[in-house]
Amino acid sequence: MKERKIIAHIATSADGYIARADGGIDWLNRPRTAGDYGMTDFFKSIDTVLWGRKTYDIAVGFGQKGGGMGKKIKSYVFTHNPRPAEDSQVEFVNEPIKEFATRLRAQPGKDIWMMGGGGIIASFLEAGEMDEFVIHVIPTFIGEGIPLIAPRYFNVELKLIQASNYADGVVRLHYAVSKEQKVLKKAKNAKKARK
Amino acid sequence: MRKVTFGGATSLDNFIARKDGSVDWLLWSKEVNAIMKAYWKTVDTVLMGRKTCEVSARLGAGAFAGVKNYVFSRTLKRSPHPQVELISQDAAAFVASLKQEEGKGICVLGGGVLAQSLFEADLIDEVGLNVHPVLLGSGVPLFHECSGQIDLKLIECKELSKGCVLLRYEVLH
Repeated sequence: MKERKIIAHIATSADGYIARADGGIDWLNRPRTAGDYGMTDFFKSIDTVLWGRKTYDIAVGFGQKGGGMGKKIKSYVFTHNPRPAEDSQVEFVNEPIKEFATRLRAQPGKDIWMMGGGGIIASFLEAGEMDEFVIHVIPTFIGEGIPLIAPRYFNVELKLIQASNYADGVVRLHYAVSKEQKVLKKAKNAKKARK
Repeated sequence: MRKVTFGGATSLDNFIARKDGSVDWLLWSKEVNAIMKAYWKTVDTVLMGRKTCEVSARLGAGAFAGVKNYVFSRTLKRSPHPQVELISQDAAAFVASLKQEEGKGICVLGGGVLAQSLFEADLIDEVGLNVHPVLLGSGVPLFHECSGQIDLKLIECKELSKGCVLLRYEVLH
């Protein structure tokens, strides 16, 4: 059985935000001279989407029923307060991430799209359950907003798979999360800082 | 007019150092050395914020050789280093007039606080990032929150060794 990967496929501003503080993504609306940035192909490679509750609510707020993923895609929305889903393809979950991810990976299927936001990505990283990042860096600084990954204390080594760019200046950064993570020597770092 | 460049080595999540200031995650290569060497030839002035200057003085660096060094601070009474000139006036006004003078390029070191005021005054012309393949999760941010949106033009996107990526942008004024 092919291993299912959990992939954050996401756009950020060049200063690292996924949305304005109010969730606004107006800065993503640019002339699509470079096609769809591989989105059609990526969408064919997944059958499951993982959402943070706030990100999901924003998508629903844009009028995207069930997050706008269509009938073939199963959506899981992570929340501390699960509610009945308005759509049969959507499930609200409040399960520990490690257990959820282990169960999901054990089911045969395609890859899994980590939609974000920053909180759920940080939580999956902490649980060691993120496999890849495909980041489309939009050539603009929006100044402030919601970061790609919620600030936490961790250190995650990545492996660059590919960096490339589109004619319109959008950069595509593709990383795998390293399977072997170095254990941070906190004592050594603290010693350095005191010097 | 002289070109003002801002940038440096960052983690993918845009931190330039861990919370304790350490940069043990930095990756060096001959390639990066060559890029930096070529860049330094285009520069004759370095601008620092107070924190960057103090950190650099503590590390024994203090001032960059062969260039004019400035530190911006409203609180410092004297410069932390004899080779660094203290500027107590408004950074944006000072840099705006510096850009009009004859000379080579001007390098703004991060930290971010100085860069933030220069970005807001639309005085930065180019941004160069060496994006490292690591997520630090927290630390000293490259960018401090700025008001307003700044559009960029990608000049260069290049894979470096050890998984680093060089990104260079022109600021669209």
